[in-house]
Amino acid sequence: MMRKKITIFLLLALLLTSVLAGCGGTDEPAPAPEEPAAEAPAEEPAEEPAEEVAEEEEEEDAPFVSEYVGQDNTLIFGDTTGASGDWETFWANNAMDYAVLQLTQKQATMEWDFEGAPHVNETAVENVEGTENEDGSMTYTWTIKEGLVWSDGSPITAQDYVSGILFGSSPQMVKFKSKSQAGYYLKGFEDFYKGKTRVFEGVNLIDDKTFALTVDAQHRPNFYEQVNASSSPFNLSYWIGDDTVIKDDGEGCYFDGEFAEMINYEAVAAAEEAEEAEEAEEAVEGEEAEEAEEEDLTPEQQVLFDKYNEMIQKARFGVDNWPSSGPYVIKSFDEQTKEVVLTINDKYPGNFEGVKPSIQTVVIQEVQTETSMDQLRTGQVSLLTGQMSGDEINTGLDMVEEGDEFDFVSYPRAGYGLIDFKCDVGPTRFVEVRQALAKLLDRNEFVQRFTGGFGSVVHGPYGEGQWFYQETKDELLDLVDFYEYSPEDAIVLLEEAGFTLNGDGEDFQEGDELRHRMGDDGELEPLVIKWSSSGNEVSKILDVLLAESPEVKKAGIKIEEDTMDFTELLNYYYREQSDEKYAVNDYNMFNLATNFNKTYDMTDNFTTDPEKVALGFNGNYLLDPELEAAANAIVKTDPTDLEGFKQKFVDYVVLWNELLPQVPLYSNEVHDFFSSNIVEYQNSAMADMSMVVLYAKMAQ
Amino acid sequence: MLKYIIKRIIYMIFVFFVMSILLFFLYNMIPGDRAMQEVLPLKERLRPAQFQELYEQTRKEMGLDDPLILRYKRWVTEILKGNLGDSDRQKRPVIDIIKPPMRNTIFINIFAITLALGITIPLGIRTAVKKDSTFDRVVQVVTIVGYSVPVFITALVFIYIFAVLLRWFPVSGMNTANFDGTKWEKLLDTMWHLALPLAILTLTSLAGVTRYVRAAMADALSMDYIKTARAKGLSEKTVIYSHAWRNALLPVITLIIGWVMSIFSGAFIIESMFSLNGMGRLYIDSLNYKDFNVVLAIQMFYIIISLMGNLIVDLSYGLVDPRVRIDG
Repeated sequence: MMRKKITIFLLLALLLTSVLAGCGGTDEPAPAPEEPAAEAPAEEPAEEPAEEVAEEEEEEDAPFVSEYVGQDNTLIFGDTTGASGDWETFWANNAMDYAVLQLTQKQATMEWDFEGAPHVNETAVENVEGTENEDGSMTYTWTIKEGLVWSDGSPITAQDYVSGILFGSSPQMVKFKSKSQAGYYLKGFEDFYKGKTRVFEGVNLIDDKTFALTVDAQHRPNFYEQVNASSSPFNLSYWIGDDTVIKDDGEGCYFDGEFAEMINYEAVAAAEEAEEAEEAEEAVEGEEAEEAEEEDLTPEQQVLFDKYNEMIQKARFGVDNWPSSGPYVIKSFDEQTKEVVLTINDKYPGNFEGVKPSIQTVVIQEVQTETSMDQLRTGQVSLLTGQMSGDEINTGLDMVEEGDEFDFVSYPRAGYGLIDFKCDVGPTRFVEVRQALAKLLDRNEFVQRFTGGFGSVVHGPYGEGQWFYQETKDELLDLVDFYEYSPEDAIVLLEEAGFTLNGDGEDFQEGDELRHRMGDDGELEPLVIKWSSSGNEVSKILDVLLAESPEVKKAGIKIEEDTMDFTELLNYYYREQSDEKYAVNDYNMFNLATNFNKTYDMTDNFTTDPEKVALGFNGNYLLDPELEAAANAIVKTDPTDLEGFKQKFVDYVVLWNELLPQVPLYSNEVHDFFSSNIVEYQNSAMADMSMVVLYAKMAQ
Repeated sequence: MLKYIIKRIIYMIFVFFVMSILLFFLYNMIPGDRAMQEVLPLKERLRPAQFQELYEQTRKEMGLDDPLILRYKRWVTEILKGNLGDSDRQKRPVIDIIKPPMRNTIFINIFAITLALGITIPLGIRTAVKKDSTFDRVVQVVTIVGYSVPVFITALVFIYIFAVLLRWFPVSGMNTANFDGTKWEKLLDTMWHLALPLAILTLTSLAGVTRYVRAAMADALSMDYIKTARAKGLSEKTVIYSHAWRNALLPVITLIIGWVMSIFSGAFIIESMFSLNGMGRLYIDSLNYKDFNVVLAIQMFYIIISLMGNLIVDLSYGLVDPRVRIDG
């Protein structure tokens, strides 16, 4: 039957071409009617005949589409990122790899809810105790419950909970080019990570059910402290075999076995000490330090490196033997098609609320933006998440309205698109100029144009779905300036900034080309904004609504746009030191976007520390001690002080909104579309894939 | 003949090295700091000194602090040893990244080329024989339309008609989700998924070869020896296939061998529209991500294929046409 259809199809294809060509009829081929050929069928979908055809097909024989929808209790998730098979976060896992990791790596001591709030996972944790130490550090002692197991039935022990931290913080993994810094917040991380000490002081293995993690004093207090001192099971023997185990003699955990022998801890420590004592040259004469300086492995270590590299690279792309502590196990991964199939892990005890998965099979497939909605319509996929384009959302909503086959949920994005100012060069060093630019841009119009109506204007660095925004929304919105579109107010602000002159040094009059201000050096400074743009869709709308706007010109502002590659733009943005042209540049304005992590940590975003500023930590180069203090204060909150956290958030956003280092442009309303046989579906910008799948169910 | 082949191989090696120098320097002179691009996501998590250290370590790992010529020497030495390096983006050997899309591309192209040549050569011969007939004109128009309409439009139209409206074929992908069946059933499932992209690839490639074969055959059929053959009373089939087609084959062979060599080439638009994991997408994605080790490996591979293709074309002349003798 399939062959017959292929034959019919090919004949029809030729027929279609002949029909298209039919309007020619002369020796010379007719000009190709490109646009109509593409649009005519799309605009007139001839729905009724199509349905008839589909019904007839069903009556005649089993339609191909039934192969998709006929799979019971299977969720087919389509995403534009194809999985690569590199699940762990040590190297380069992409969004879909990470989704697979989330579905297979759970039973963490702390888990997140849909609003992005952390909770102790009482399904896995028997008890947790926090003890403040004399040095200011804080030790969290976790006792896990009896009966936790891996998908293969082997028990999950406290050693599994400390394995991931040790492995991901180990100098051995640095040699394998891992970028993981798993135990970053824990005491003794730096020494362990650099290979100065064999023992990780802040990680203790007490018995089979108990382990302790100590948050370093320098990272306290921290609102997310307990999250920073949490962990999830990690199957060390899967990665490096059974030769090496983790032990603790009371001073902290360490690797016991060949894996540890890859690092010459004493030599590294000697070299570090010598460097610290600024006696490097003398100390390097020592044999051990020489080895460390050269950073070459000894022949014995090279043998170990090769052995473990082979094991780790093999484990990295594991499929059917991939150890799972999560709700699903990987059944297959097809590298050719990038399809991942996961089946339920019946040994999974549930998440922090005790919720267990009910969908038997989850398939992750790569889709293309242009045709993903068609795939949903034809049943090739059953779930599409994270739709932000107006075209796709409108198509999806039409599908939902057409009948009861599809449904959707929407939620605000945890992030926003923005104009970013450099506050130390040119006219944007004046807060009034930044505010004036905000008032010269009709942001509501911008949102309408860019998101097709599926977005909103935000007024500070937050996502509308974040729990602390939701709980302070009323108070916050009373305190912030909305910077409503007002060219008149903008002119007043520009005058306040001192831009009151024209090019001849006389008072600026309507009709003059450009505003100027008299600098301290007696030179006239023109009101020219240099804009580094990536030329994307946002840039194009900004061109119309801001750069080329008559009101902007009337106000005496000139915006000069330079379009460049995005990497190039980032080099200018971060004032990359490797090249003089980046290091010293006078761009004032960039159009970028940002997304928030689950942990809302603004520390160092507005640092005034010259060393950090030079490294680009304060991307706006806004050196305001008050803002720095407000930004740093947010996470420096006791984890139990929810009200304090919220108040600091409000204080920060209000100050930020006044100083305006950025103009938030839009925050999308994200849409998920799915087949109606998926019920109890929920999602948010803060939820990961495992949450979505855990709570969703398939209708019988 | 052997002398000629050796000379050509020496020439190929020379061209290979010149191209490798040009491409390597070109890509490495593109502005942007790959090390910074890699460590930037960690910036918020690290203390300044740690970040700086990691950045410097990454630059060292990537060899970015070394002079360009030294980096070229290191790269080309590894290439000659068969080590294409690691992908900056995926942190794994380039060879492992290239294998799956290469397999897909070859698989798709085998069918696409077979279909295209299977249709175009007979069609070209037929149109030449029936030159200026209605059939000839219709084929000329049909093929040129297939050639002229942008491939993404053809793809969208085909998807809409055959996948969305008629639901005969899937919208995209290479296999049914979670497909469970025998190898044969899986192959059929793959072919069902590939029907639309193959049809489009075939349709868009009809014009070139058909018109080329037609022109070559038309030339051959106008020759005196064809008249002589007909005058001798030979059957029309013998005249066309034994006399005309063999003589028309010489110009066509270049095109056909070029096509066969293109078995390794990806079709970016088709692969993107139909979610096929092929070489075209890998190449463009790698360019977008500035994953130059992958890009360079792909380009060097295509250079080798092109050089070999040219050699095969030249050698094949001698095989097809006894009048052509290749000597050193």
